[in-house]
Amino acid sequence: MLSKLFKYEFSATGRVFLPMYAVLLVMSLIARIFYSVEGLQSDILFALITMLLVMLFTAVWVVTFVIIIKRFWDNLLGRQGYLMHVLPVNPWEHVLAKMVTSGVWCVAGAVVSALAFALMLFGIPELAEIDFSEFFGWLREAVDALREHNMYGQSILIIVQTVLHSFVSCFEFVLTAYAAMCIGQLANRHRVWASIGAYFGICIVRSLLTSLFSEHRFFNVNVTFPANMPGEVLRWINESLALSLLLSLIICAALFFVSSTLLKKKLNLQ
Amino acid sequence: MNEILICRGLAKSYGGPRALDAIDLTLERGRIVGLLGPNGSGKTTLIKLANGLLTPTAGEILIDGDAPGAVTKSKVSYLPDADYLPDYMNLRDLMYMFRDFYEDFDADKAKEMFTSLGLGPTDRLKSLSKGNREKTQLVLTMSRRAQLYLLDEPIGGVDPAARDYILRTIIGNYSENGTVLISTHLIADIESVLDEVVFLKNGKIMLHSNADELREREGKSVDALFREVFAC
Repeated sequence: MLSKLFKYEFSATGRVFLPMYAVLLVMSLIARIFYSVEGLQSDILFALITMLLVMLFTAVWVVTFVIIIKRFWDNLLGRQGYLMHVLPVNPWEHVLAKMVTSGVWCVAGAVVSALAFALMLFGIPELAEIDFSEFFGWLREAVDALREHNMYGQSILIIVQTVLHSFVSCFEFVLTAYAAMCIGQLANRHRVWASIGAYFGICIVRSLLTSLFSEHRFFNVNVTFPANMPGEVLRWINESLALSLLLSLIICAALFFVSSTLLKKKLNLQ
Repeated sequence: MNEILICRGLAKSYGGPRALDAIDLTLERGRIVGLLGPNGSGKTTLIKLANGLLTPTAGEILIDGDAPGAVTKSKVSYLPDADYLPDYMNLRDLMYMFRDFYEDFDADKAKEMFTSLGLGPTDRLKSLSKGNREKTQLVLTMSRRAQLYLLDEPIGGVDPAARDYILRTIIGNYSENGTVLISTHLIADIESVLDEVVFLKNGKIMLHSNADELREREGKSVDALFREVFAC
């Protein structure tokens, strides 16, 4: 059943996301052409196209977040809930299907934005002339230096953890919104306001947890850094990152549990 | 087990007075039951509770022995009193969706009914009239071989000619051992098909009886009795 839910989730949301990505990419291509044609760059068109692109890049993210929230609200807590909640599916499967789909669109949005940005940038003649071998040479030197001081592994780990962090934060945002809406629908009236209130409530609890964590981690530092200090610092940063990743994962699990339990035991479809 | 639906001390409150109060009701298999009552008597609340769309304030509701959940939902075919289908979908998408999720969905039957209604598989819900959307919902609901059909106001929004079609569809398509619960306040139109009637007033069951026995006992039609009981 879960795979079927994914199928319908992707087709329902893809109707909006895919055309939006197409528009962004096409606009970047058009901008690239404008930027690369000599003489056009000083034109008013240049300013217009750039402005339009900036707006489009922003719009992609605004639309992504709005759709993620609206889809959950309309599809599970609004009219369409009459369809979704009578399917022979467990509530946690609904939450999981929506969460994963939203996560995939977040990542897709980032990839498409980066792609569009690259498409557009390389149309600028000055940029196209940049010699990247210099940059790669510098990168190689840096890697060598890190290797020499036995810090290469730790540095890569920091990058990996940072990327993981952005994934997990994405899911954390989505799950916070879901849990807030599931709490908000408990109210008999003013459910939207109740959901918004619940969202801020969850955020407050979250920041309390974060500050407890950082207080413990950063203000009680009694780590002594001997001669191989940079390596120790990197290790300490990695440890902190891992701990805060763990905290995020625990919070995600808790929010997931809250959402599916409320849908299972306290659904009140109006 | 011959009971398909059991309510014990079932109550639901939306914060104010109880919309349903102390409902004890048992429905057996293979019956067509009219759930009758004026607006606001709790008909929709009862049906939503049976579908797990609401959670009871007190008491319990069981379908084929289980509380509403994924298992009972595969046995219940529900027609809500709302325009609930995503309107960007066309009829073919909807049939595929129902077939994907419900093992008992008969796509051929649905196609046949759509054709007889003059609706094509590529018609989008968005482009259909309100009446045709309601018929679409009914066709999807009745194309399942369910054990319990819960139909909330199936004839409320359509013209009298369409009402006949809908009633014929209901009678002609429910599975043999299935029970059909029809909620409505348009009693005259459906009286002839009912095996049992349940009168609901202010969230309480006033009467639950075999339709023929009731007519014999009271010496009048269910419709006439309803008008008497619920006279304003």
